[in-house]
Amino acid sequence: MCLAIPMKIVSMLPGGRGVVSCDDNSADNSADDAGGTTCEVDLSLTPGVQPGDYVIVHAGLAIETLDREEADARLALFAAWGAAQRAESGESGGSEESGESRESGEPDT
Amino acid sequence: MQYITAFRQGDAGRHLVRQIARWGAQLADAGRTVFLMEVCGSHTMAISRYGIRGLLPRQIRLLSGPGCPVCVTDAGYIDAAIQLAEQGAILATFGDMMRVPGTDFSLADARSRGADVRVCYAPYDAMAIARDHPEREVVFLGIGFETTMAPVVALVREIERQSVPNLSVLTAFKLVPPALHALLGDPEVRIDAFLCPAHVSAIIGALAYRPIVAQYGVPCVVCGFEPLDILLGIEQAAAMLCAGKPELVNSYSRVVRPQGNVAAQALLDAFLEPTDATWRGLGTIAQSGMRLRNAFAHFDAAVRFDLRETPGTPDPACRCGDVLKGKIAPADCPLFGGACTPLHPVGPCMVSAEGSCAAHHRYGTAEELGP
Repeated sequence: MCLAIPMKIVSMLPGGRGVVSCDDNSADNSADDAGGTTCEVDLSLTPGVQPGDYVIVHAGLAIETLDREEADARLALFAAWGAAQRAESGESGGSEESGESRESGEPDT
Repeated sequence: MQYITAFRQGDAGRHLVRQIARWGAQLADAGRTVFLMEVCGSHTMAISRYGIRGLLPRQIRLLSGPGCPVCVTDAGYIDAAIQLAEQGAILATFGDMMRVPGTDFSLADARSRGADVRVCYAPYDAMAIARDHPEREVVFLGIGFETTMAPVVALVREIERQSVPNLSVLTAFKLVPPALHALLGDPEVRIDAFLCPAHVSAIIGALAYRPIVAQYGVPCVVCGFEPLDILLGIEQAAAMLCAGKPELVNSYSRVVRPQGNVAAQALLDAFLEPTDATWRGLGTIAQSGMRLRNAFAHFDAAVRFDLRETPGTPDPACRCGDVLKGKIAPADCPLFGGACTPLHPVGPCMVSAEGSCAAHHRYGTAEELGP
């Protein structure tokens, strides 16, 4: 029920609305690729957003912005763990980072 | 899509599973088993879909909580909605609501008997239905937790702004934190840690769980719905339980802010006020719901049509209440998979795709065995 997906803002519309895209095939982060499904959503609860920003869309409403720095930092952490896992299981995967050191918990509230 | 599939990498998952296994070994040495409740139905669905239970050591158990607003909608609410349709109103609803059993009928049953029930993706879609049928009353079925309250209240704001005369909302809004308090206050329920809902938290903020940690000493981890998010949330909860240091961890910081979405909170506060609410399976929980403030009562279908909701009477053999509280597993219910299936649901947990029973029915129960 509370499923919501990150979508990229393609353009702004009057009345606090905008067009967003679920760019399924996009590997890069450029703001101008609007491939994939687009739909119109309410952006009134995410003030200050612009085309190129990601928002979390639930039932036609953007409920929050996606913080790209936080997302990329977490992805980098997962990439490092993935590389460590591959290194340990003896595969020569393209690991950009090795080292298994990590802290559990991460109280980053 | 980069911010979805990137959170499903297998190798990072394997790494996390090994970390979790280490905590499991530590718990085994201490002779402990811990119970983590995932509160949210979208977590329940993802955990079943990705087979996460089968990856965990026996010492770390997952319980599915009452976190699907469709599942906890009382039969009396469905009865009231059907009554409106019988009086000639068009009902506009989220699709998940169609098969929720009322006392005698579901909305799908009512539609097959001639009621005009239309499925919307977004509450805003009801505006077009009302515009296209100016001679008829249109009622949007506004159910949901904090996440879904936001788009439904945004609809009410739009009804007011555009002075739409024939559109109203039948509300059954519920709040997550009071349900967590009710669960922790139930002596028959054992919960050692919560995996807190992702998008409810986007609205209310991670700090909303601080009183739970402080009052009950139960660790709370806010985590996303992708498999790596969930595995990391489990790992973080297990680490805190092993260390005996309950804390609040916001592990979904790419979306959830400590204070939540302040603009959304202001919108909800402008239109809604707390009220007692009936949860199917859990009963009435004080101040666990929200209703439209008096100033907006003319948008409330219950007021506009003078409806009197009476609580529904569930099938006595149905154990959904115990499933929702995490007391029993879905397969332990005598109706599971026999009298109660996704095609012919008896209880609410089987109705919504995100219900615990529906998720277990769809993805199998072998995962229950664990390694």
